[in-house]
Amino acid sequence: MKYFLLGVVVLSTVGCANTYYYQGGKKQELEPVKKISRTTDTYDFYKTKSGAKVGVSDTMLVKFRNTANLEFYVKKYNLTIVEELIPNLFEIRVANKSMTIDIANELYEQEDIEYAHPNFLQEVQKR
Amino acid sequence: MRYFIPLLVLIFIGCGGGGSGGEKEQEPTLPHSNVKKPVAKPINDPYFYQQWYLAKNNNFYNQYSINDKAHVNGGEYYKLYRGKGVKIAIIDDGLDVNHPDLQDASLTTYNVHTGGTDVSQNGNNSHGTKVTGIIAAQANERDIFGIASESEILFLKYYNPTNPVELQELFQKANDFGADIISNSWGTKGNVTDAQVDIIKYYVNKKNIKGNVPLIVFATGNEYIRKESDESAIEGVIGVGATDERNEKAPYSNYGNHVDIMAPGGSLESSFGILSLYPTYLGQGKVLANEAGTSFAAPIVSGALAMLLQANPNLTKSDVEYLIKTTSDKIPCNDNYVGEYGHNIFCGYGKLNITKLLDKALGK
Repeated sequence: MKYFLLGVVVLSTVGCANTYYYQGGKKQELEPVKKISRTTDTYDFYKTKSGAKVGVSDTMLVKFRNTANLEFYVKKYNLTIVEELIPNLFEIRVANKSMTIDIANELYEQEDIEYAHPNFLQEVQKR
Repeated sequence: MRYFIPLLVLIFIGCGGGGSGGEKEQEPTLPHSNVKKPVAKPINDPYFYQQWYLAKNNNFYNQYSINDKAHVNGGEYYKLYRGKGVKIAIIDDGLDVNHPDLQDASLTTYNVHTGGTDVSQNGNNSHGTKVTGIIAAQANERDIFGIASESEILFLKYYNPTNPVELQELFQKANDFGADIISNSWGTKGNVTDAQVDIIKYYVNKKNIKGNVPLIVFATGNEYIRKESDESAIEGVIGVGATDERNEKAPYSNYGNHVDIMAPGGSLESSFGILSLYPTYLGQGKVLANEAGTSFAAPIVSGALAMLLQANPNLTKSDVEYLIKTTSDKIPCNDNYVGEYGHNIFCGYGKLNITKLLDKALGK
């Protein structure tokens, strides 16, 4: 019986593995869901706590406080810089979209990076 | 001790700037307009009388018991200033460029998804045509009167859902175009990300190719809630809420400290929407539509700002912000207007009053 309970606990922990991203300095939880309209397998879809669905591709957005270590991060995580959107905000591609959230979160925690998060696909609301 | 008292005096002087102190800031001196007063043109659009949000038509107002002051009071200025020489970028879901009342409009288009110029709407979408019609419907003998029908329009079609990279491209296109005003009747469903905030903040302050900082207008949304975390709440953005035919805040109009100005958005509860254009390809000869929401208040403000910039192109962004604060009508609202210029979380600095706005900008 105790093995059964242990198994339930382990399985439930795996099922609830915390997926999150940073926004405004706070962790925002993400729950995997089926894809929404537009496209393809280029996106994985998640639901935020507010119920909005977001798509995650193999690109992320990283804002540097300074870019001195940019090349270091590129090599460390096998990244490709796509373009600088506005000063110090870069669109960056990761090697595999399954890594986008984790790499963005690791970058977010670096002192020379102001923020990092996936290049989220989000629904537009007409007003 | 003799040194202590002067030191205290210095400390108090140093703290004086940020408080309210009861004294008004010195009013800015507005730049003089060097624009010659244009020749007045008539308004012959057959459905102008139903555009209750622009002007009062006695019969129409009486028939439907509309509050006398529900309109934005453009008066004679509608005949003089129609946005000539002013560039407006409109970001929305698509546009019927073949609408008969847009045929003589100055329209440039861009589709962020395809990189081309086809901005046709998909499916039953009609939002972008309705929004654009409020600004750009031509002053002629058909349909409705667009508030800034002589302005140059860049219509930018977003793809839904979208991402911050496309958002940046849209705003950069507006910047390249030299947009004086960027009109947005949309918001992100869900959280606005750090990158979205940063991108919009960047373009709030980025001079366009004409050397001007654009006026970025956003609708505040229709969820009946206090919401201060979307695009309309970004610093430097002009947040537009909606009023209805009672000349009161429309119940649906989101509110908060970020609301700057109100304009008619019509009523969701009654049939009093904002009359505008309807995509011709959607059906059965219908060319006009009535719809309500802050989406339709925002282009009224954008169009009025185009009238303002035509009348006085020397105004800076901070001049325009000052004019909004000091000329908007303090309509009855759920709360008091507080602070130096009278702000209210439900109704901002009040409702757009075009005659007061242009009078002040022209030194009258």
